[in-house]
Amino acid sequence: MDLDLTQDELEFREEVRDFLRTSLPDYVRDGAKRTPGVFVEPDIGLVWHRILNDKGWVAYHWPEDCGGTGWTPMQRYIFEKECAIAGAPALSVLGLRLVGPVICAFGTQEQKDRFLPAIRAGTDYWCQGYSEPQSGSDLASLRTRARRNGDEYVVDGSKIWTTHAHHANWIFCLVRTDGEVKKQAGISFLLVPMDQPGVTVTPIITMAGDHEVNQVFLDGARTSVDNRIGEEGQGWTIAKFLLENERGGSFHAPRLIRAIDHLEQLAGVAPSGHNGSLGGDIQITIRIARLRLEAEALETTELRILADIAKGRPAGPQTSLVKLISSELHQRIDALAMDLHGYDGLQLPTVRPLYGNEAPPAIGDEDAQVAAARYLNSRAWTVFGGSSEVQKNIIAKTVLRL
Amino acid sequence: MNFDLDDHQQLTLDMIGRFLGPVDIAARHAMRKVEGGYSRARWQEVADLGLLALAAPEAMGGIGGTMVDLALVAEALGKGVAIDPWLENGVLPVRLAAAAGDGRLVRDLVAGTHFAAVAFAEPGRRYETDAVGTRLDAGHIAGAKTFVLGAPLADTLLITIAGHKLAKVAGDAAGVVRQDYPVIDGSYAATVDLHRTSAEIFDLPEAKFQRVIGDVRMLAAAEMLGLAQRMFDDTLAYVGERQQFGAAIGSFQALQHRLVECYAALEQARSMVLRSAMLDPTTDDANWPRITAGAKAFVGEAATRIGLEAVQMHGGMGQTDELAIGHALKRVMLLDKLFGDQDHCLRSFARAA
Repeated sequence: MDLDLTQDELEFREEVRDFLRTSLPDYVRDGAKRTPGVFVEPDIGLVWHRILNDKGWVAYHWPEDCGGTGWTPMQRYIFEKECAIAGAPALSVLGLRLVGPVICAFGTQEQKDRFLPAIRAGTDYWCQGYSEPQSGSDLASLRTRARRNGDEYVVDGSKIWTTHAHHANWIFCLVRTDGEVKKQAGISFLLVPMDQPGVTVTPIITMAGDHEVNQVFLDGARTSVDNRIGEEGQGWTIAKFLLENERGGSFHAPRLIRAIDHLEQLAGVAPSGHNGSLGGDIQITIRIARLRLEAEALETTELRILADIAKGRPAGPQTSLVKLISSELHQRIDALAMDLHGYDGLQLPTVRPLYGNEAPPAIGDEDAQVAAARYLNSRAWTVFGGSSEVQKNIIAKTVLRL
Repeated sequence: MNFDLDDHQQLTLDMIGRFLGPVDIAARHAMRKVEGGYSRARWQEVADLGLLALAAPEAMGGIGGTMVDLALVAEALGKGVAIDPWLENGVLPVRLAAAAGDGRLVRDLVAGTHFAAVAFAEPGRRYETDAVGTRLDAGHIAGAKTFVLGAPLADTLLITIAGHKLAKVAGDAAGVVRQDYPVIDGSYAATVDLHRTSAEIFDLPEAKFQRVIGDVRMLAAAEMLGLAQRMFDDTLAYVGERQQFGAAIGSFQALQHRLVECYAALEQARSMVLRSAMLDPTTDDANWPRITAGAKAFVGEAATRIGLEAVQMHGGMGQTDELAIGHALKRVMLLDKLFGDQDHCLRSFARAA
């Protein structure tokens, strides 16, 4: 048992570091830093996406025959950690992490040829049609219906909390194709083009004033039968595969640890109010220490899961554990960040973006400008991709066998 | 011992309930879009209801309400998620002007014809309240203030300056440079830079200033109590209605126990607010800052926790800007840091013990 990197892995790390040093544009890094939402907007994200694609690294976690890199799990980990340290933006998960791997695993060769290159190139932008107004945690109760009409499906219903639907040209949807069978068995997985009269997108503004999510109305929306992934009724199996990817597809600890490092630096310079910095404040120091210990333990939990995957053992419900811990850690970090800024942490700008020439001036430290918005947006971590309550149910049932 | 409302208190609460009505999110968003994020016409209504006079001494044309009277008002405003800056632009300047002996300003403020903002915070000084960066020099003042709530609407700025003094400055006076910015409850604050600004100067003895800070902390706690009550009530109603897995989510024990914990925190917060408010006439000025710092930290922790649970239990809906709970939580976050966050206030409470 050891935590050491092999010589090959050390060399790989150097290669990644060199690439990041030379290829990550400052304005992209800056945009990511000043984005209060959970995901960066395409004006920042797609720039980095295309740089990675040019390097052949954008879909590094896909199987090699689908355009992946063939990296070992440890290489993926090293790559993500270095990206986090460098401040590279976290890319939209919708194409690369969610529907991409689904198409790799369940799609036909024609579907792979049609969709995967456009995800890698960033020319297709995806959104996710899972939740519905009446089906959140109880996803299997979804009501959006698709009926066959010749070579097409006609889809009626509504999807909600749809991240970046206003940027997307495709939506992957869970739909009900059979209302007679057990609720999970009547679900299918459809890809639906957004640019058609039957699809309407309305914005939902979050507490912080951000427009990240939407409600999508499907009113006689059409899609070819060729755009169904898997068989009719196989949607729930695919949905679970996708959700496990969403919850455990990437590593959280590197970004969390970097955020904690940043908090520590900030505390070192943030004024205490009485001729010193908060870095010497015992309450702040202990809060940071607690966060760091939790994040370091999480890093090792993630590495243990990684080691299982590398040895061909399934990760399965362990991803729920990581989702549960990392979501709450995100929130605690963002709460401390806000507290560090004192009154300046209470500013909540009403315009977006907060980077570029049109951005309003920050009050106090530039980080203070995004602190409150990030804190508020961060509440979503324990709700999206299955709420913390749902993760606990999964762990209780499948791990603890309660 | 008696915890009942008297007739007058009940009438006041009924009146506030009618004034606020149900929470109207669309109207709130519209109000925040007007210049300064608030309406002077509505402020006049607040004054006409006597809610500002209640905070002013009778000798200066006020009603001279007790701390219990004022706490009940603050709680009612919180429960109705009032958009009105009663505490920061009403009670605070009225009490400061009274403490400084400016009876004329108190009368103008109470009448609602005059709107004041208080500049007590300085950049880089966190929650400290002794003014060191704002000074009087040859009859003019110079320095920098931040987090001046309501400044964009202010006719008058009340500015704390070094040497335990209070400066009264016209909002549009020469040498006042304001940078307005929106804050978390949707209202507007400003940084205020002062360059050789003419001002009327009053003495503000430290004990009197601390007394006013104590009053504001007390009433911030009371408003947070009302906000917490609103968030709790709305959540209780929601878990009874929202159906998932074929049942109301309120039937799940995992949520029930958390709601019970919220309820316990809410009742404890109520007790703390009542206890502190009733201690007011019997404690001396030296003890008051400590009592209110403890109360605000205690209630702030409870209200924050209840608010975060409310958001979580509302799921996706809880993330939106369309529910009263979100607006209430954002107001709690502001009040929780006003004149010191929980850490700061707990330290004051512990140190003075």
